[in-house]
Amino acid sequence: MPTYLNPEVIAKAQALGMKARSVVEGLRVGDHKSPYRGFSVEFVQHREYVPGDDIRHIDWKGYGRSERYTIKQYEQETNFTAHLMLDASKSMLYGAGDTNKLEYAKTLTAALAFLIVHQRDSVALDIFDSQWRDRLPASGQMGHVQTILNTLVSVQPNEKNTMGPLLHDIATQVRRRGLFFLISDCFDDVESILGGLQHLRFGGHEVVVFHILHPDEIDFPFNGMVKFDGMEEKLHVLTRPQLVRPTYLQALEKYLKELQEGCERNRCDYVLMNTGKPLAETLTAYLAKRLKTRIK
Amino acid sequence: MGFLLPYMLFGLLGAAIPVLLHFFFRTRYETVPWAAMKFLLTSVEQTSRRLKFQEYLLMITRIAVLVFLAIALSRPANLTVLGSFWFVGAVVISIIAASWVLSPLWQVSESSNVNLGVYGVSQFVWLGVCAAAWLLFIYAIPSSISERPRGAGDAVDATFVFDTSMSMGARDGDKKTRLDRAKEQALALIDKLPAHSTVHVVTCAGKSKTLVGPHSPEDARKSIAAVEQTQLGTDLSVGVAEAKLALARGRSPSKELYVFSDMQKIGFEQRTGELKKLVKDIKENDKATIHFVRCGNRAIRNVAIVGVEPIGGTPRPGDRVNFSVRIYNSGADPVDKLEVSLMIDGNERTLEKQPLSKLDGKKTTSVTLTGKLDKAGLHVVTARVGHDDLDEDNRFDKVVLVRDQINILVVDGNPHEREPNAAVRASSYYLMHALQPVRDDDRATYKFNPRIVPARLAAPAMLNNQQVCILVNCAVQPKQGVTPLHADFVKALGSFVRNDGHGLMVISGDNVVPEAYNAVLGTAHGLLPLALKSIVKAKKDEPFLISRKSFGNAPPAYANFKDDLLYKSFDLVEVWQHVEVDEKTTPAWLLAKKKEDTTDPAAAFTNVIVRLDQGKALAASRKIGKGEVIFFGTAAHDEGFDPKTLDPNWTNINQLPPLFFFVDTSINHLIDAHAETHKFTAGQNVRWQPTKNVDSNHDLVHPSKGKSQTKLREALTASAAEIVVENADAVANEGIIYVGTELVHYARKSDAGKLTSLTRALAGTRAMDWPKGTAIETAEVVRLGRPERSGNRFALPSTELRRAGVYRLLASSNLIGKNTVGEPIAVTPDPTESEDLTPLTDPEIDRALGVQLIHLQAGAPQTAAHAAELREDEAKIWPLFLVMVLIVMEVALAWWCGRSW
Repeated sequence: MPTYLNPEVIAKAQALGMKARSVVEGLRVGDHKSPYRGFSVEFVQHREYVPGDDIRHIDWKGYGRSERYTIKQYEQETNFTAHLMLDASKSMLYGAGDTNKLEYAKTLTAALAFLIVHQRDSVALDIFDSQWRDRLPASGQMGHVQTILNTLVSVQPNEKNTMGPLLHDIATQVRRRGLFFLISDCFDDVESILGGLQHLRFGGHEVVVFHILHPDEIDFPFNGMVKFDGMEEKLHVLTRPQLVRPTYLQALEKYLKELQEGCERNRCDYVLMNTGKPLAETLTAYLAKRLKTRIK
Repeated sequence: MGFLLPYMLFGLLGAAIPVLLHFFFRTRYETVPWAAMKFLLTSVEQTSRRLKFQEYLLMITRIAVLVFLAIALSRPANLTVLGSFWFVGAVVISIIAASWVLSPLWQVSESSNVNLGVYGVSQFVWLGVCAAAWLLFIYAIPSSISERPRGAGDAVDATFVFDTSMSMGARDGDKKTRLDRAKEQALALIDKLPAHSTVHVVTCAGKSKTLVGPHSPEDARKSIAAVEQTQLGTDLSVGVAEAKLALARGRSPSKELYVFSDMQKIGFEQRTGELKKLVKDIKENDKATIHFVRCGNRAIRNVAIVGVEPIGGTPRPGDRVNFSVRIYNSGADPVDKLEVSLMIDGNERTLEKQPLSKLDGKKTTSVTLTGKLDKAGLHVVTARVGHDDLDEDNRFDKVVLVRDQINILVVDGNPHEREPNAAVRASSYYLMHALQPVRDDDRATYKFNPRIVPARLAAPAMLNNQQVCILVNCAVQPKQGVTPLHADFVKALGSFVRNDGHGLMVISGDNVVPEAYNAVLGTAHGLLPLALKSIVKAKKDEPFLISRKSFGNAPPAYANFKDDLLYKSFDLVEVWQHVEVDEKTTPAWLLAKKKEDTTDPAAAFTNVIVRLDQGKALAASRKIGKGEVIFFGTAAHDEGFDPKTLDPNWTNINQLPPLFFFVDTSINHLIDAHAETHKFTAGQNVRWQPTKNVDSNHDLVHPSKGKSQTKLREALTASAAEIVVENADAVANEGIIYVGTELVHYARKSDAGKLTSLTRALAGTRAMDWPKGTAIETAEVVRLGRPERSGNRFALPSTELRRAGVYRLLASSNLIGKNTVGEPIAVTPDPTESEDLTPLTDPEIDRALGVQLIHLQAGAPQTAAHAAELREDEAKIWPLFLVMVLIVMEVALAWWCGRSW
């Protein structure tokens, strides 16, 4: 069984930690801010006491100063639920060895799952292509990581990617605000993808898009006479790639730009993962960036 | 158009190489499973049209490189600039059409479907365009397609046609004649002929032509050097016809015809249709390249002697005779400082000269010179004029017959039987006095010896030994009270005039009935110069008068009558009655005779000698066969008087000197006409009928033979000893030696053994007596053989007189050791050649012949090189240049398209 827990990735990522930058809803008091005002460490505000409030929370010092019953409110810290959405469509099979997009994505998924569980948050796994293929409910147990790994091993792509409807679907399913990691090559209609992301953001979720692309797909480095067989469609194109490279790169750039801008518009994180680059490096860079943003 | 290496056109199959290579590389592709098909499809969709176009352009360029390489290696030839343009256009369009039609097979970026409907239509459109392009190409340059190509080094069958007409002897600057220039240019052209070429040399002038060859270029030089000028007219069709035969025999695919001529207009006007047909035939069927080489292009000064006529009465031995020398300036510009000379029998002592200060262009003038004719017999009168650019027509020879007495038979149709000399009735009374205007004692020795005979007694035998016959008022058909001429006599008259070359004079009178004359003398025997119409009588008190001016158009013998005061008495002549002649229509008998007399140009027209003041002809003459007939429209006698007015019935000429003048001159003219049997034009064929020495072999000799002439002259004027040593060969070869026009020795080639005596005779007897510088000429000899009997006559074979000058007809009885002159025959240069020396321009020649010819200029430095360039009609530059351009295009396109295959 292949192990998708790359020690190097885990080590670097663990050092940085996975912190939910925004508010997440958790079932237990944890490292993360909760949207619910609670009685924890960090003071937020005072409010007038109303009958029914726990008298334990009355600010007696304040009463001594103002003779008015006020309640002292603190920010409640909680754990979050991360949803790892892994694209297992046929197009993810492109690439050989370490640069295979699916393997790259699986490694990324495993690393994220370990990190999240390791910091006592819950993680759920949703594998999809044109529909949901495998769905593991959220759990914060370390044993859940092993379950995730087993699931990842068993993934066999055989369908085309149709991501948009699934994003809408999951957005309606998940009520509690959480963190969504979309790991895909996003070879679908950009509008549809952005629509789904928007829906998730509407639900208050934080969304991170890991866009997995192979270096060939980014650079299109082919020469000579090449017959391109479609991995998802029954199409083939016999052409001289060097002649169409400029227009291919233009089309790709346009697509990436649309996707990236759409993500920014929806306040989603967009991370382009080039499978040609080491995962640890790319993931570390993202996490560092994320941490920096949070400290601000 | 054609190809020198047509089998290299199989290289056109190489046009498939780019397509095959394309197929080959197309099968060698790498298969890549691809995820981002969306972007790839978008990219292909955006670029496919451009890529297809680039691919198509590149493929066409590569095919075109191979196609034009194959064409270049096939060595295309015979294409003009326009033809090349059309040809390249047609090929390119064909390539485009073919590659477009086949493009579905080799188009690479086939991700989008082809619209077969539109595509099929476009295929047909392109095929149509392709067919139209080829048709246009074939239509545009049909001559180029039909011409056979020639390579740079291919052997050539060249035929050189030399116009050796008289005008080619014109000097064209630096003392070279046009023929010299033609020869030089021919030699220069031979230098440029490729190895193994053959050369035919054709000379043509008049109707004569010669053909020598085929020669190697080296031998051809000798043949060209031997080409001689003639005094004949220009007729290029004869030479071109001969050249066509030579070209047809040639085996080389490369044939060239060079026509060396001064392009004299007359040369193209003579049988234009035939020349046009020949040139077209040679160009189209023999596939020969035709060059017209213009020899000489400057206007030449030329005066020609066009006639020498004795003036006045009939010459007698010892008389000094006036000769009218007529000179014509054939150029447009005046010629000055001329000198006209006259010489009798080539004797320098008889030379008489007269300067002529100026003669305007296209004008004729007469100069009168005198010459003394010592003895009876045939004399050669030679007139010369100098100096101009063309020598050949500056000499004119004429044979003049001088007789001791001229026998004249006068046949009187109205004699006075009892008293022939009575003036009352005899119509010949005054005529006889005009014929013998001397005292009775002197009549026996007078130049005219007339014999009078009544018409009823006239018999054929009476014509024997007569030189002239005069019919006076003779009836030819029965008439009341008048006995007509006997039919046998009239028939004998026909032979007397036509065959024997004697003169006949017909004088009118009451017995002359126009209808009868037309029937008998005209239709039956062809002895009238014109048809007679009717008797015309003058009104009362208004006689017709003679127009002296009309003598201006008469034969030269009558020329003095026009202005000379001596002949003013012609103005007093009154004509009350005359026979009108029909000048407008040529009688049927003359038309028939005209065909027979084609060799004699003078027979073609009737001379009106004199007219009356109202314009009607009074006397006319015409050559009939060898002789001549003069018809006098009024009587030689008054033929009675009107009892009321006492005016003569016919005319008063009998009482005036003009009768003597007219009769004397007419007899002279008729005798001179008899001598005309010794006068010919160069190029004429002569069938001589000797009356003496019919059992002997006859030779025709001509005193001119180029090179040996100078040698012999130098030798003879040096010393007698040298003659023996240096001229034995010349004498042996030529056989004849002339001094002036006098034949001094004559030997046949077979008589070589007698050369010793001949040369000794030359050296010992005569040579040292000749004045230094005397023209001594050797001669060429034409063996005519023995005369053959033809009816009652003997005739020698027909011979062409190719040279001007004085020929001698000799019988074998005039042999070794005898100094003889022989019977002279004066041959003058073709007068038509001198008449108009205007050349045609190159475009005019092309228009006249209906084909585009190559025109070269003899003597121009680049002519030979230009002809050689024209021979190399292989298109060398443009196919290779085109291939090079296409290769550069291919490289640039491949770079632009970013692909190799």
